[in-house]
Amino acid sequence: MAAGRRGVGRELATLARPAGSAALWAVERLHWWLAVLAVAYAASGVTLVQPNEVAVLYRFGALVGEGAGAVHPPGLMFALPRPVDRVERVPVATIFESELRDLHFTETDVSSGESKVTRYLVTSRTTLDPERTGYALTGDQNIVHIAMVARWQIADPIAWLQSVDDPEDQLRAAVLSSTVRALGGRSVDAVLSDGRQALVESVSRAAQARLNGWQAGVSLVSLELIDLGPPQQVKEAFRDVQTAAIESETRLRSAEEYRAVQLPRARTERGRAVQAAEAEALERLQAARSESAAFTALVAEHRKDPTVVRERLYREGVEAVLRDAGAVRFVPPPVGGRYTGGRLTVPTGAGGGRDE
Amino acid sequence: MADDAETRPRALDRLRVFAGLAAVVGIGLSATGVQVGEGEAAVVMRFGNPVRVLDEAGLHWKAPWPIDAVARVDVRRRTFETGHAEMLTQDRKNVVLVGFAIWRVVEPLRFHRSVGTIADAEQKLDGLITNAQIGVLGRFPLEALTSTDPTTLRTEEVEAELLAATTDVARERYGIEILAVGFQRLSLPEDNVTAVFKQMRAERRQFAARYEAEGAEAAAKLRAETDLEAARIRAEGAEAAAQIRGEAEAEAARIYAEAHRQDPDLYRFVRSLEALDDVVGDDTTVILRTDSPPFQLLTSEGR
Repeated sequence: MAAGRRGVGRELATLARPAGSAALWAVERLHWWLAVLAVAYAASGVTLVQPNEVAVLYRFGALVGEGAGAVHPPGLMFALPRPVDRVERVPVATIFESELRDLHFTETDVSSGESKVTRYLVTSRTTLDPERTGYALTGDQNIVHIAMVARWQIADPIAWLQSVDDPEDQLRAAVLSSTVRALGGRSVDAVLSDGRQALVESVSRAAQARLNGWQAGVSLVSLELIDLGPPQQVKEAFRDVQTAAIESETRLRSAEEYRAVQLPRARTERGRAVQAAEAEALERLQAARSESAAFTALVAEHRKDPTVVRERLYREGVEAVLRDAGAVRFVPPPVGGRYTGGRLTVPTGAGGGRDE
Repeated sequence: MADDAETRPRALDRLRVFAGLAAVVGIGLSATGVQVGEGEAAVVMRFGNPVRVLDEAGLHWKAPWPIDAVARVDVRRRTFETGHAEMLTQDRKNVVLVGFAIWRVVEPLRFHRSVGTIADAEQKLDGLITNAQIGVLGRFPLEALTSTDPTTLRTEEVEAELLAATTDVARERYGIEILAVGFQRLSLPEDNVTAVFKQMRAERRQFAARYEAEGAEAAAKLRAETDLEAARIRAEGAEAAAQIRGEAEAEAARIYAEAHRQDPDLYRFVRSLEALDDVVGDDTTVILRTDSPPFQLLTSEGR
């Protein structure tokens, strides 16, 4: 037993010999290893500040430098190792996004990193539970849901690091309280129609003013609406108003169309009437001129030989009369101023026949 | 193994000495040095009794444990959000508010004595703010918070009163400074929402009716205007035509007059003949004396 154990021990020692000599070799050069470790430790404070970041340096917990002098730009930064120095990098060029759905009926899953709507919180057809569904009141005491996305940036890295514990929560409080206040001063129609942009601008101004007042070190880059609208429960009533507005618009359009057809038609008629009158006038003048020319010619002829012309005219006239007349009768000339004999019949006139 | 001990190099001895020294220095420093960071304060307690506050960032010294102990207090600003609390306004309307406060520890010693942790502080703040909200809201009508008339809105005043109602108490009792108090949600109790929906629907119906009426009115007005304008344009046409005709007539009359002036007597003669011709038609019987020319030729008398 003892011999066997000794044998095993020798065997183990034989096996361990190379490892043992290696360990010995390492231990003999321990001062080198220590030197390497010491250099690595001394260099552990050197930090590479990324292009989108700035860094600040704390020595024994206290900020090194003051104001802008305390902020180190991107690049290599030399600092002593912990626990003497501590370097904090701040991503000042990064734009963060926060979805604000506290006043909306949806909730997002923020833990997953992606902003994905996870829950629709409408629970009842007739009412809303304020603890479960977010909404805001407008100035005319209507209920609206509003969801926004705020994009923000760290404006003051020193304030960000040393005086604010939860900058995003402060941003949330600033934007939400400004939103509640802005909506509380506006009518639902102003908010839902063309006042959206004005609302967002006013909220974003007020929120930034609040953040500045608290020295949050955060600047609001942009505020955008994701959704702003009436609750599901009354959506239909709002849609009806839109329909009515569209219908009224359609009516007005059709009246405008009527106008667009009727007025040119009237103008055409006006033009036609004037043209007809002008043509008529032209004809009339033409006739006048030709007739007067003819008369002038007659006058000239008459001057040469009045008797013959008159006689000719007279005869032509009488001939024409007699040609047209229905009947011609003759009576002898009166004797002693009286017509004798013969019976006259005048076929026309109201008096009918008359005897003489 | 026993063989190794005999051949142990002097390097290991040096290492032992160095490690021992480093450990002594490290333990000594960690026992007596206190690093206070920016946004942080430390309360030094001698035998459990708070004696001084280290509120400047940097390295400080204390007696080693168990004589002195250190409690750190975060003095950065933070946000606290209250739960939903229902309250009455001055005009007896129920509202549900969610308030918030921006606060920080300004007296670490007092904070450490009376509150201790941030979670405890938030619990205390919740009660403080909710009570202040109930008190302040009871002095304002709902119109002060929601109104389309800007003169009745007094949100700033409400927030200022909330701040006044909380800031002194928080400081004196808890060593907390409240920088801002407000509300980030303003809702109605669940039971009142049904009535609001009803009112909203009624309002929308009114709007729809108004749109319809206004649209119909505008369209009718436009049509009437169109008809009137079209009639005016046509009348213009008729007037212009009449004027043109009249002018032509006058011009024609002038031309005739000019021609006739050459021999008015002849004109009258020609005109009489024409008139005679116009008057006599198919149904006219002309009675002539047999001695009138040219018919005297028919009788012997004419010869």
